[in-house]
Amino acid sequence: MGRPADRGGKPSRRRSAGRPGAGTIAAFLAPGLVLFLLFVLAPILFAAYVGFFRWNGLGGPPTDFIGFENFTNLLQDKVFLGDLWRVGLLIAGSLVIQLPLAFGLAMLLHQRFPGRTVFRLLFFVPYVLAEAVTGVLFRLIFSERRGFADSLLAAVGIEANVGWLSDRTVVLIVVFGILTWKFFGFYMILYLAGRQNIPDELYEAAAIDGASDGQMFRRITLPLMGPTLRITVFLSIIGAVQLFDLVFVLTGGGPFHASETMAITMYEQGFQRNQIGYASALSIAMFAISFVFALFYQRFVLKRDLQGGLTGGGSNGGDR
Amino acid sequence: MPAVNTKRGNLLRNTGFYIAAFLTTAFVATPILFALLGGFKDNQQLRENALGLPNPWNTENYTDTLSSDVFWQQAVNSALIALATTFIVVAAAAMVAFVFARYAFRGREVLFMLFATGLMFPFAVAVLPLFIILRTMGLLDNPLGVILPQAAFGLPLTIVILRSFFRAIPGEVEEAAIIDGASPWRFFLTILLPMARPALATVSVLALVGSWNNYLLPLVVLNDSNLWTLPLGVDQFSGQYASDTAKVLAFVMMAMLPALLFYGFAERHLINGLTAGSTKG
Amino acid sequence: MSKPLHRLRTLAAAGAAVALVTTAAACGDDSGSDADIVWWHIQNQDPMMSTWSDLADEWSEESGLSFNVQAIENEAFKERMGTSTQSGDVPDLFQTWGGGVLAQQVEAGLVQDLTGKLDDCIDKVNPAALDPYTIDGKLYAVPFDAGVVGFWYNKDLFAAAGVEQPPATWAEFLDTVQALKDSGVAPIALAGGDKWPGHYYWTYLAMRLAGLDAMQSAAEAGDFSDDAFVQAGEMVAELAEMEPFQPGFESATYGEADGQAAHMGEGLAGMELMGQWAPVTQQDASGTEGLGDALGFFPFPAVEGGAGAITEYLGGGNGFAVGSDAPDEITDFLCFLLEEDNQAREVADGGFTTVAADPDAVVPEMDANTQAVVDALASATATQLYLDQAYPPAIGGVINEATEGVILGQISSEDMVAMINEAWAAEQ
Repeated sequence: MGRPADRGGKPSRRRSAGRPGAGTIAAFLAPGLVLFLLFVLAPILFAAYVGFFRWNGLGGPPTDFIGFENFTNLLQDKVFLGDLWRVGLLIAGSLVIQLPLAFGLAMLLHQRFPGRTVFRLLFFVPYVLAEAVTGVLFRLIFSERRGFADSLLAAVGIEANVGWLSDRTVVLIVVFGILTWKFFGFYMILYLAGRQNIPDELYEAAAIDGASDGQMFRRITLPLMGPTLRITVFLSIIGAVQLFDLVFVLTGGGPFHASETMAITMYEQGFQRNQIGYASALSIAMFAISFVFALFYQRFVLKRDLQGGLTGGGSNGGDR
Repeated sequence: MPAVNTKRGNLLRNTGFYIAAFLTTAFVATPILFALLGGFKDNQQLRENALGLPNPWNTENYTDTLSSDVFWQQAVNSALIALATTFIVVAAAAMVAFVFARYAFRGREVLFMLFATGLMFPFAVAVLPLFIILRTMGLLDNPLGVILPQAAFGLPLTIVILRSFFRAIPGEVEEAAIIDGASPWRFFLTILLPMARPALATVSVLALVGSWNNYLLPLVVLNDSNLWTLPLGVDQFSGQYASDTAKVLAFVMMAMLPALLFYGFAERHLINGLTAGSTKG
Repeated sequence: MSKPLHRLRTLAAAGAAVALVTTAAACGDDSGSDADIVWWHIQNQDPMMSTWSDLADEWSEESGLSFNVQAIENEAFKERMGTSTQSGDVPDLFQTWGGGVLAQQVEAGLVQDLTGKLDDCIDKVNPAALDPYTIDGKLYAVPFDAGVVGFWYNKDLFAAAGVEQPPATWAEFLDTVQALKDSGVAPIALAGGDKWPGHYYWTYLAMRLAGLDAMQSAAEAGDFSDDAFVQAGEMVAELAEMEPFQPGFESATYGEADGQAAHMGEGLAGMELMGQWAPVTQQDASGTEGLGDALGFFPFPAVEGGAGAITEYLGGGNGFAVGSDAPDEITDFLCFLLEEDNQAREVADGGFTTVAADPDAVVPEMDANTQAVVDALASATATQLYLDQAYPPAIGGVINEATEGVILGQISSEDMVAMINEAWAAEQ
């Protein structure tokens, strides 16, 4: 343990005097590591174990080992497959509508206009609100007979009798709309930050070379914002996979699963029907899905940062 | 700052900008205004005058909420849980990030990878087994059952942000401290942490907001309504007073208010944290 | 050096907050409440909400034991109870409907056996009302309400649609639905979002077609493949195809402002299939006085050629079960609740249907609605507990879900039976 960092060729005095021993390092790591192992890793390992049992979670540890049955059942479960399909739709929607909208607004707000700070502040507000509270609010807005949404439509002359939350073909669109309302500001902020990191000199040089706005957008803006774009794609995918609060409060996943998500199915099976084994298998499936994406993410986005960790971290104290 | 700015069509662009900005503002603000104004209406007004201003302004729903023990109890619960979560996650993460950033030791990369992968675990994945583990530990119906897991799930992001901040602090500072005979603990507590205040503020704000808004974990852990946090309370309140929409709207608005105020107050830190979190991690 | 000091002060403050929460957590570890008796009930509307609190206070004064009474909305209660059961720490006193859900809690050791502990007062209860709470000959809960599920209908709307007599057969029932539809009102109010109100339709049709005996043996064998059960689903689908429900019923809840009960209370729908609590909930949810004399009751119609009789009822009631860690004195409180004066208050304020062994002592004058339920109960040749409570939670959940699927035309009746059979197979 306690091997001194030697990458930067530091003065040897520092190595012997200031470097902490293994015990000190362990002491610094301990609280975080214990928390992490106990409440993040252990649950996932435990779910992997319980997923092989039929267990209602009551009275004693699981005993009824059933092999892969929970997992094979999962693959035939129309609700779970439907969850996957709906997650896919939500992801597609955010890639095609939500993120481009946020991107467009970020480009807009990057321009210097009077009032742009106010707008930036405003657009971010929904992100700060709790999803559950948002769910309650929109349940009232879209409620069937006294809904605000209907009044709003009527005011602009549309007397459509839309079953916002009751029509199985509409409800997912409504959910998507609310998600957009809640999250576009967040992505917009990320894009703004990414855009601000691009040096103006690049554009100035390109302008001198006679590049058009469109060319500059394609050749400079898009490529240099690549990392930010990839991150937002990843965040919106992970967000869709674990979507729970808002939908649970808004519709409970209904009508008849039309807005159900994996996390809601897991909650229903585990906490309402006491099918802990099956729900654990579902948790593991969710984990597997996010893990595949996580690997993808690491490969393309986190890679650079990790390399920095491998090479830069230890020498940082001594680099001059 | 202004990217490419030709003079042509400046007026046109300005107009386009404001149209887009105001449309988006309307999109964002309408639901919140509905809650704010709806709380000042009564149910008949809500039905017959859904769009207009309240007439008369009816403050009863708000005063009821403000004078209800339930609301304050839940706000206090939310605040205590958020503060405790923040303290634990920031303290533990700062210690880990400190050794990650400034010392080389065997297994460091593996450990960092371990924490970094935690960044990609959706919380919902773990909630069911977490529940069973908390049950075994006797932490159900106990604020710690919410605080500790929240802190644990907050670790990866906090560590990643703090590590890169700590790495940026020049080596001379540490060297000077060591020459003065400071132990790593002393250096960490009295020099590094104070220097890292902006970063600590940033990650604290992230942790506070995350905890304040959490719903799923308190939902399964806290059965006793005396322990409920505001998101749980709002959901329950809307069921309890389902036929009194205006009252529910006032409660919803009051539940949103702390987050809005906090955002107004710590906007910079929050946005810094989010951008740092997603570009560093 | 002022900066580090400032930092340390902040740290100390945050540390103090942690300590505060931790101690708060450590002190309140009995369900997070320091009350002697934690009590969850679902009467979350006045006057009954206050009546339970008053009863708790009165007994609290006598006994010196303190209460933490929580009135929880029905759907939220079921959810809370699910996690509470899983947590292994149920309230000291809580709402139950008996049946398989209670049985699972009993099996997990969460509920006290009350047999022999209530000798002083249990004779005040009609023995028949104890059935749903009796498992393997042992009593696990005390009821305060019992009744049946049937159609509650709006006499004015029926008359306006030219329906003179409540339908006695399924064919007549479908005619009634059509007549109401033609008259421009929603024939039936249904809470599709809550799922359980829909399952009454399938259950009743299955009871009428297969008969109660066949239903019970199907449950014992875990096999609902019999034609009668498939046919019941088909008839539900047939009814749903007539589009008899109020607009937006798919997401409607039972008790909320736009829900099933509110539609009845505001006179917007012709009828609903619901238990004895329907009249009270109609008032609460709609914020009106309800339908008053215009509200009538008729039993679920007979199905021509079916094995079940019209006198067989789907029904059940509400009771209180006692958590395994509850103090012994709680049995005295249960007896206190059963005192005839107190039963009278409960029935009056909660609109319950009395479970008293001597109804006259509790309710000298019954209103017409309650009388209708009491008469139905008296004439019942057999009763079946709501299936979502009678069966274990996994199966009850599937029946609710599948009925919703059939009503929405999303799954076939065969699918439904297959789903139920699978759920039973997984439970064995």
